Amino acid sequence: MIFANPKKLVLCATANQLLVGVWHAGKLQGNQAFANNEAGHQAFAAFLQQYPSSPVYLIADAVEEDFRLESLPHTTGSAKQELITRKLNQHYRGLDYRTAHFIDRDKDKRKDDNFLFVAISKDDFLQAWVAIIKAQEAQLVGVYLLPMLSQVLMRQLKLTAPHLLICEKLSSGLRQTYFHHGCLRMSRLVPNVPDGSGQLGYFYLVEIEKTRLYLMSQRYITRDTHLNLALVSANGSTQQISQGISQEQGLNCSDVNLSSLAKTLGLPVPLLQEKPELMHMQLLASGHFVDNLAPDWLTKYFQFNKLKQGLAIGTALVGFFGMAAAAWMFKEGWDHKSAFEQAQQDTQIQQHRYDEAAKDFPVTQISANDLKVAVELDKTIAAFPKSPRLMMQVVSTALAPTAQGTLDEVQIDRLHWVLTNDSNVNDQDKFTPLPVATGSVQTPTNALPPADPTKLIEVGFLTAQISGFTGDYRRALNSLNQFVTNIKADARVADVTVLQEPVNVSSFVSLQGSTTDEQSTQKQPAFFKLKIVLKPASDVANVSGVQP
Amino acid sequence: MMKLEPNDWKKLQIPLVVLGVVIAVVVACIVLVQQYETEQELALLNQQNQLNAARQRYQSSGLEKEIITAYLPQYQTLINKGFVGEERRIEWVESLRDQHKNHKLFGIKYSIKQQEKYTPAFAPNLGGFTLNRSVMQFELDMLHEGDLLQLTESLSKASVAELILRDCEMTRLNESGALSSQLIANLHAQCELDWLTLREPAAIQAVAGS
Repeated sequence: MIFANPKKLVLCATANQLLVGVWHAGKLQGNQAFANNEAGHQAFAAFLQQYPSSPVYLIADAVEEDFRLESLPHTTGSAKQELITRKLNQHYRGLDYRTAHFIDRDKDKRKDDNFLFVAISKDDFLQAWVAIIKAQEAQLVGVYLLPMLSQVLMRQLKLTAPHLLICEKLSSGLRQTYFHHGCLRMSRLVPNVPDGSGQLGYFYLVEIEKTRLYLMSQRYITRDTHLNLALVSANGSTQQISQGISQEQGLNCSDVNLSSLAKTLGLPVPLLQEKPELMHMQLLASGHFVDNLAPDWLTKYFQFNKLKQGLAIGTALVGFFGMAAAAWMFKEGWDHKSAFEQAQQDTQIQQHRYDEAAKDFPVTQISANDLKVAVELDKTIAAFPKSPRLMMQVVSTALAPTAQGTLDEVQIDRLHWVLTNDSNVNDQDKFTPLPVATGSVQTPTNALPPADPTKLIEVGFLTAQISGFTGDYRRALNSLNQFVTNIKADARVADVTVLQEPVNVSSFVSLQGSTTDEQSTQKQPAFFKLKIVLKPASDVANVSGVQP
Repeated sequence: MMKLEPNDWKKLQIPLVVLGVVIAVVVACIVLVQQYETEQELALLNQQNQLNAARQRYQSSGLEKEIITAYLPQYQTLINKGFVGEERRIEWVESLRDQHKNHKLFGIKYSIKQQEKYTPAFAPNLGGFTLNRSVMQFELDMLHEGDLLQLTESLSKASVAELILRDCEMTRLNESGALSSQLIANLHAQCELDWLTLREPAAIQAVAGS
């Protein structure tokens, strides 16, 4: 099962035996010791077959250990890995079980990284057990050193002395582990612990003194360093010894009773008394992992199994979350569908209500809006002028006699009337021959601002001449000006433009003629052309208050 | 980092295939469901718009009745006078001949161009209708300018077609300017009109046709 909580096997290998504990959910389920001989190996192989998928944690507790404290330049990533591997090869070439334990980083100088290089210098006692594990393809998680778990134990016991030496009486012998400010520095195991209680105190005393001298030789401590001793036992059996050491050597020695911690961890105290290594095994089983010494090829089955488990978990998660997302989206779609059906029903209801109301309507296929549009459009068209009557009236009014005189000499030759929304519309005069260029007044194309495109306006192009023209240009211009003034005076006119004058007296164009023009029988006609723009009919109605 | 050998890859084949299948199934499900959701959402949106329109229509049914009551007779008049529906060219030609006779005009030459769709600026909203235009030109000789006024105004009053007089050009035939006392043409006029007709929405035409 992917998410099952399998049993854990924690092994503790010493020179003489292999202690195996089976843990499930953090509780010790059972333990068994296998002697380091052929029979023990066979029994262990048979035992291991019962737990093919259980992770196996192997603790090594042997004399053949090596600890080296070393500072390395601070590096990260692959450079760090390469540096550590090089150092490991330098110190422990050919050894399978080795690791570098990071301690801390210097706070001064180069801020180097401090590492404790650890190795099992002779692994003969492990080989048989490891061979069985490998043969069975058991899930070996790692190989750990017991003193490293002693560090975990020290933290669990909250022992915080700066120079601490923990002495533990194990199945394999007396183990003394030195911690500097809570960090492991070295450990040594002394096998063959005497049985007699009288000899034990002396044995402790002698071995502690040896360790102290070793620490001084390695410059971990000085002669004046206050070394704190902690004698660990399952039931306080080392109390007398610790008192004796304190009195005789003047060292700060304390007795540490593990019974309360064992109860907390669910470890039977009598069993712990019999097999003290179980405490370290329990800590490992509880998830207090320390640095692994095993090479990759040894933990490959576990790593591979983990990879398979990862794939299975990934598959399950992808499937679960993917289907959950799909289900959520489907629910959204379903909700939309339900809302759609509801809206459809509501629409039908509204349509039905409308149909009921529409029964009283006059019968027509055309919608009300379209009816209105058609009628309004007809009204709009009806409002447009139906003939050039207004333009003719404007011209006629302008030609009528006034106080300034008559304009009888003005003869209209052509009137081009246009109904357009473009007040700048041009005239294409094909009938009246007008002299080009010399007499023309150039009019800018967009002389008037663009009119409202939704309104149609009347534009007239008037071509006329001064009848009976005898060459009197001054009089002709006066007549034209009078005519234009009269048109402009009409309230219905928006604009009048002279497009062509009878004669152009501007200094910017050339002027040709003869002084005998007046006597000539062949008279040149005096044409002129006007553009008249009327105001929109609605504007005129608004101003005058009458319909034009 | 663990290095995988060919044998390991063989062992991982099934989990990897299962993972691939699961991913493919999940992706397919999500794509299909997303498509389904989008379709339903669009359908809902469309239906809600229809519902709103139906509500609006029902709520304004009173006003609609008033509009129909007020405008339907006028609309019927538009149909009768030929503004809505097909052009009645024969009637128009007859009307033109009548005007000719009634006003004792000289001959009128006319031409009507092909009908085309028309979207004038003065009528931006045509509802469901289509507006068509036939450009019409006529020219005639006149005794005096009053002939043109009579003709164009009479054509509009005849209610045979909806016309907009767009362009008229009058020129004097006698360059001297003196009007003849005889019954001969003194002026020539050339005009252009827009003959407008409204075409009802296609759906209504189909119903009416059936």
